[in-house]
Amino acid sequence: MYYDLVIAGGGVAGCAIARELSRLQLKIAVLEKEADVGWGASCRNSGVVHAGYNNTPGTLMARFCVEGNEGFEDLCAELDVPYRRIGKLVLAESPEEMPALERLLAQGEANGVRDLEIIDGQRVREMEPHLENVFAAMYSPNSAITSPYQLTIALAENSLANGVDIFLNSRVERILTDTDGDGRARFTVYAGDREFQSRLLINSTGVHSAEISAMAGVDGYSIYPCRGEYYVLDTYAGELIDHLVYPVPKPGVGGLGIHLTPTVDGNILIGPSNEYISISEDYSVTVPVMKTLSMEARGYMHQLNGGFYIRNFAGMRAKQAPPEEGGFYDFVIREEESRPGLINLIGIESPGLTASLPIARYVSGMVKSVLQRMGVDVRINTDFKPVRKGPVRFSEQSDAVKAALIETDPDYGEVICRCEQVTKKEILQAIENPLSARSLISIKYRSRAMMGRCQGGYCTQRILQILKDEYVYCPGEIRLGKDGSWVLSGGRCDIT
Amino acid sequence: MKEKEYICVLCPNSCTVTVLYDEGQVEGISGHGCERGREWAENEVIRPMRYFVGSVTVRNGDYETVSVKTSDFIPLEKAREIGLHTHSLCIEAPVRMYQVVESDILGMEGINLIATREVHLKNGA
Amino acid sequence: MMIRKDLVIIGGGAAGLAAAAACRERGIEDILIIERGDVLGGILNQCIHDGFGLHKFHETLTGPEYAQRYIDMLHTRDLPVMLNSMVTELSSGKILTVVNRKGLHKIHAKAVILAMGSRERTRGAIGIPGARVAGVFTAGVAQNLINMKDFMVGRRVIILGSGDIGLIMARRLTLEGAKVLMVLEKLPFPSGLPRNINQCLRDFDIPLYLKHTVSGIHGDGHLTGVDVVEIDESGEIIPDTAKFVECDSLLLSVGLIPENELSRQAGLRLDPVTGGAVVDEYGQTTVPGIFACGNVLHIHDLVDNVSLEGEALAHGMKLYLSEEALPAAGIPVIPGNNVRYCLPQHLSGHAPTVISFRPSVPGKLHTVRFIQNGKILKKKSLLKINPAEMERIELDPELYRGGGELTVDLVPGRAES
Repeated sequence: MYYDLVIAGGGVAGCAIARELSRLQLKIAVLEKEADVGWGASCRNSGVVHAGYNNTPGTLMARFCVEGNEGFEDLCAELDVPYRRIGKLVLAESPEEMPALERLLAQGEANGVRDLEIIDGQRVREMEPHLENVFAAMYSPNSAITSPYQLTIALAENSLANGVDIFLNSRVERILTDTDGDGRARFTVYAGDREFQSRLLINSTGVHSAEISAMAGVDGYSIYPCRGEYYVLDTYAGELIDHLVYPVPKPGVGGLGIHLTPTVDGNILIGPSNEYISISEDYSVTVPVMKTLSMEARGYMHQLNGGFYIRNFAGMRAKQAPPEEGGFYDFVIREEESRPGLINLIGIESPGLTASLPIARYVSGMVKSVLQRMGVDVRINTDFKPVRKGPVRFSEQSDAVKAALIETDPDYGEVICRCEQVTKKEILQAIENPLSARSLISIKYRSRAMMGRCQGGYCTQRILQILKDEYVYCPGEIRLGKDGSWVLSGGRCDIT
Repeated sequence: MKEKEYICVLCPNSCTVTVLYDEGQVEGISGHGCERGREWAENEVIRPMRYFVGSVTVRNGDYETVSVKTSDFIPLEKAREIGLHTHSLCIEAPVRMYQVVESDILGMEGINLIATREVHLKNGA
Repeated sequence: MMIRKDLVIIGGGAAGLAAAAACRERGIEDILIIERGDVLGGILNQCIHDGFGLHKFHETLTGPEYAQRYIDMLHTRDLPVMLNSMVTELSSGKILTVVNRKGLHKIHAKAVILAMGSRERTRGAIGIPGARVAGVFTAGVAQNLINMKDFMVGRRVIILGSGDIGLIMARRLTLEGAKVLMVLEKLPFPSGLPRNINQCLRDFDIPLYLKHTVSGIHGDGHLTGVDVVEIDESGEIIPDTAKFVECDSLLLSVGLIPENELSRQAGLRLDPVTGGAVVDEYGQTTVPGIFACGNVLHIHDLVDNVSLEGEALAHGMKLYLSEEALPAAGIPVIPGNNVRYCLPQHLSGHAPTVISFRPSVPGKLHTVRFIQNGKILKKKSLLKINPAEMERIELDPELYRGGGELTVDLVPGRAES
């Protein structure tokens, strides 16, 4: 199959790049190894839209973070993805931590972050009456939150609508490189039983980016997987805080510290932890970390006890800094001199989500230069549709709108997920998504069903019945997520 | 002489019944509150009897299965066999409460598999 | 357009059905039951095992049969029911928002009975470490999948938690041809009824390991096995005792939590120990006109007691609807030694009183004592006590009315007269 360019990796960066490049008249393919987009780091993070004071001035990270933060609200509006500018408090527990806070503010101002201010303990308590152990804080009003999985899905859906082909279950197995008759680079990528030929290859494979780069003939990169675990707290806990709450960062720690993050759906996330591990995608949650997270959370607010916990999850950072060093290396986004046409994105960790659109534009600029250099005529796609409409969320509507929705479609009147008030209509829409991703997790991310405090205790059986009756799935075919994650061993009568 | 103690399940009194037995022969029973309890405890040593409960697949019903039970006690040792046997059964909706789903189950005369719920035709068909 | 009703019952399961039947019996005419499922009966519909009704009907019934007894009672009384209808909001002013395929409805009730039942505690809530894999279910979900949907969940099963649901599922899975490898219980005594230990585990030689739990979940995509580990006297995991056991299903039976989302919205006070509403002897919560019964109030072990609790509401409901207020409940009821909780949590002293309580430890002969102002008002001998078995004792209001705090405790030994 011939494409102008192939993007390996369907995370938020890969999908943002695909969408950005679909503004041009190009044949684009995204190859994603999982059964849905974003199942790497993109769905497994705090969903924070950072303001940009945490990044070293002069780096791409700093530049793209600030740019990304400024444009995020518009991006979310175009894609119909949740966005809430709730602001962040970086807490100092004692006067000893003030110099670190002031350095942070200075760094932020150097990066062009607006409206940062140091506020005293009293003001913090006015903003967050339940916080304990607070001496002072830096207030960042431009820090925001979004839904990282809904954003990734929206970017993918908008890319599809603009002519991009997305291939799921397509792990890149082999890459051959040669040149065509005119001496221009050519890539042959083998992924998921298919063969793709393209002029350009964009490597946005996250924690696997070093491996994929090596597969394309460019060695020398190292990625150190660094796991971050989280606790998800009940929306009742979400009533206790309004802002993002972070500690002052401690030097040498390869993350941003354990923080309290409200989510756009009203939950709180505690985490992430920070642990270098040897397996690139081991998303296990561990007891020592769970204990640390719960202790630290109670240090912020004693009310955050185990009664609020509804689940754990883990994500993986694609760190370039080795374990003995920790800390952050800048994003590497470059066309490889030794392999023209290969654009590598290495080490896209935080603030990758915030920076996704600036990264996409940067890559797009690179792609245009490369194609020009190759003598390929690049035209604008005048049919580009920037707006993507997401599903209507029944639970968020007024009574009058709910009543009207039910009248147009009675499937809105059947509440399937009791905890999150998700209706049958939304479940059907989630199942019928344009990517044809039909695992329970795909349905969950799109509809929010199974994400409430009962964790699918009421809705799972109903969703399974819908898949069997209305989409003719055999019980054994239904998957939780990836291949092999069968949910049911079969029908009851299958054991003989 | 062996001794076994059972908590009788027949009624809320939950009498603790002691059974003395030797080489498969019951020698004495004490602690029971009634005759049924005495019989029940005796069986527990010789040949435990239970009600079997399970389900049978329904075709064209508003439910996929109908819950069933045996119309009388069956030997415990037959329970698993009955369970697997239900996998080969299927019944058409509608199903009435206590309808006989299969009579003389596994050849046990007079013991039927009966429905313990109603199942109506799917979508009010 | 606001619909007005005298009494709305949220939940048409065992508790709601019993309350409805008894209220009708008392002459309350204008009743509506709102049920989210497509039939009445609630969780009873999937409890296809027998053992229900031993106290109430003096026979052993399966769950669906028990439910049908009450459904038949209601049909003969022609009581309106909204099926497939979800109450999405309940205000303290007793205005309900109900959603179903016909539309969004607003109902203003004079009185409400909360009978929403409970949900299961999940893996996430107890934090079992390891991989996120398919094949981990709460026992009730597995029960629904097998009994109602005709699905099967796996072939080699481990059950965590010796609560009744776990025990029942151990038997169910065995009879359906799966192999249940073991039941694990972290406490030194089982949480389910002794009857179920016998009928579900001993009958099928399924081992029960007390003071054991699961310390790790393994698999890639689907469960391949779990780490089974021992627990010491203080409830901590004993390091280096973990053994990997291969299985393809892990069922969790680790507790039920009353579903009080609507109760919180209505602003009524919840008891942190029971997880349910604070009520008086009428079953009324701290919001006048809102009553509660069944698992939403506290987790029961016998459906017969759920029915009794629902039926007992009729007296107070009749009084409330005619007088529009019930006497204030000024006497707190405090759980004393060896008592985990008691209900009601406060009393007015003007109505027949039944105190329900749960022992916090198992034991043989004990005496339950009702103490007020240092004086023992009543005592009763109990041959054995078990946290898995709730006790219900009647208390004459004449004994305690006008007095202060009432303490309920359990002391070892027999009550002397």
